[in-house]
Amino acid sequence: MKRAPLFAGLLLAAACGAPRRTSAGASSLPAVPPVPAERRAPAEPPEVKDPNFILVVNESVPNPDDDGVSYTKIFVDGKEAGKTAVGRKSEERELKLKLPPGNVLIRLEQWILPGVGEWTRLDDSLQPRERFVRIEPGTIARLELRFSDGESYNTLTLSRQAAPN
Amino acid sequence: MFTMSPLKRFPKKLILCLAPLLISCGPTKEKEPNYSYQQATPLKPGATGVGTMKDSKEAHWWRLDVPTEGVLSAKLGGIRDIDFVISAYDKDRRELVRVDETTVGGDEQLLDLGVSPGVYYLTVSNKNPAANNPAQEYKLVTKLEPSAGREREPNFSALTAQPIEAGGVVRGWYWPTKNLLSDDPNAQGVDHWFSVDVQKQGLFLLNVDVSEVPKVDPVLEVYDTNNYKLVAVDQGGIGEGESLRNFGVRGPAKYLLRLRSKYDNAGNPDVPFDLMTELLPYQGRTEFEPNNQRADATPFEGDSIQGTIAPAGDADWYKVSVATEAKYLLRADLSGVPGMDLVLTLKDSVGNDLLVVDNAGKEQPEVLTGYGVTKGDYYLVVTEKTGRKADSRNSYTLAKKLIPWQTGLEWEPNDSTAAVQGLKVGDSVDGYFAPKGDLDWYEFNVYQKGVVELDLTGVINVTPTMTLFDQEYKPLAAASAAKPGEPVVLTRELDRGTYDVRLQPADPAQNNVRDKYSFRVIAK
Repeated sequence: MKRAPLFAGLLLAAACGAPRRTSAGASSLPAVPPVPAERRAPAEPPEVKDPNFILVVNESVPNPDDDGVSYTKIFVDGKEAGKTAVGRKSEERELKLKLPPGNVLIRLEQWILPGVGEWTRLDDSLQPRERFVRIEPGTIARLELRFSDGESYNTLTLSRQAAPN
Repeated sequence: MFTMSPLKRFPKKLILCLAPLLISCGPTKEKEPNYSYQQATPLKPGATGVGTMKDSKEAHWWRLDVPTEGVLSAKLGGIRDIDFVISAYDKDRRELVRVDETTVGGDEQLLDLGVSPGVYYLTVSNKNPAANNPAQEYKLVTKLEPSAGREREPNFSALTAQPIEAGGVVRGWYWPTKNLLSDDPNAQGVDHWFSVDVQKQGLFLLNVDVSEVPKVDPVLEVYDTNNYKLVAVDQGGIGEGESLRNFGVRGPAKYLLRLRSKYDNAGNPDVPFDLMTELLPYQGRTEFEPNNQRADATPFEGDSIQGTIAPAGDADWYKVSVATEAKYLLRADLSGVPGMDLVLTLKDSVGNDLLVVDNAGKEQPEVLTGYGVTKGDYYLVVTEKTGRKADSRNSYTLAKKLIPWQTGLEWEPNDSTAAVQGLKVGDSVDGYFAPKGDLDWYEFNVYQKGVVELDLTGVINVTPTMTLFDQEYKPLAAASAAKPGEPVVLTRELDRGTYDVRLQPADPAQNNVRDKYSFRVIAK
């Protein structure tokens, strides 16, 4: 008989420690904040008919363990004009665009997904240099961006090919 | 004053009476028959044995009771008609060494047989079937000496290698020249094997010097305990020594040294070789041989390191690791070596050439003025240009600096349109026309049509040229200095667009590793 008050106390303590039910019936865990739009991985770039500009991006990755994922944004005359698909750094990715004719200023922005964390824009000092590219009728300008040494070095090569009739 | 010669105090008759007694203290006469070990004539180590070859077909056995550890040598005086062979046996009649270096009438020498207290036998035999000289006496002169600092033959195989302390001198002989007891019928020459047991834990440098011996061209090799040859040194010729420097040893470990005469039948019983070894703790100030390939590169962590080009064709690899994400310019200075034209090559983490520095000639230093590096491993490789020279006594010094890169400094490689270095109008950049054949490309954007001036300062020894290209890499204009050391200026009205500039010496052989140029793009 002397044990009854002790048992009642334990029952009360256990009830206080149990998770509370919300109205929806789920436990009250903190909500995950939404990922900002600029840090979201881009969707597959849309198919462009009769492109006059092709961006090709790849990276030399000697060690497969270092082969993370990345994508590249392109800005034409200061406005974002597209993104490459997300892919392995060592994979060659192409972005085809139809740009207005003329001498356009191209700026590329490299984004990488670190082992832990969100999509991160590569440091300014490691981004490819800005340059002009002339868009001419009847030709396709091909700009090739190649990273090496873990994005610490890049080369940018411009070439031109005849557009298919 | 009274003086008198001691001999004059004895009558001549007394001297003659004592003569036989005096003679009995001289050479030991063989006691025939001595044609087997049981019949062997006892001979004190250090004494001389005398005998005749009455029965020239039988070997004459001599028994030596060796009282202490030491090295035993024997010289057998040649006699007419006899082609001597001398052999040494242990107490169980196992033949240890056989010497047959001369032909009929020649002396034979057995040198530095390692002995312990106990019984040994020497046999004297004849190889000439037509020998007929029963009367003339041969002399077998023996000598027993302490073995400290001496080679103990037979050490003719890796299995019988003589243990030596690293840090001392061992004296030995390229004699005999033939190993007549070898199982291999094609085996020629005699190898001298020594084992060095490094018992301490850690990194050490082993230096080995072999002294010169007339008539002999020595070859020194180092093996591990698996019998893998790690290095061979053969830079000297006949009558010259050999030297192994900075051979890296990871203790505890055992290494085998094999010393031999390059040419069969070449030896010298009159002049010994000295094998000097030295074991030093490795402190990162010298190369760690073998460092002849990327996998064995010596870590280059300090500001400078020393090395030698030996043997001929040696390539010394040094690993430079950049640990941080920052950008650096790697500068390297390589000193000259007498009689050699050194070449310095920079390689990437997988061993591909990034830059070859071969600006200067023989005995002159080489300078890598600056190459852009980021986090990762790089290799500096030092070679001799012809691949035929070696010098283990004169070392080179390779110094390096990692200079944090900043805007305004040239970033090599910028030698192509793909690797062009970006520059803003109004900014300047300092760079080098080096190494030989260097081309430097810069790129700038013009956002509004206007007049742009390109200024390049002059540097000694270089006549610079400047070429301006449009964004499709079509040349627009070019300018050149009138003579070496003079500046170049190019002014032009440019439309909105991207432009490239190529700077280069008028003659690709021109270079300057000391003075920087300064290049500036100015909007007028």
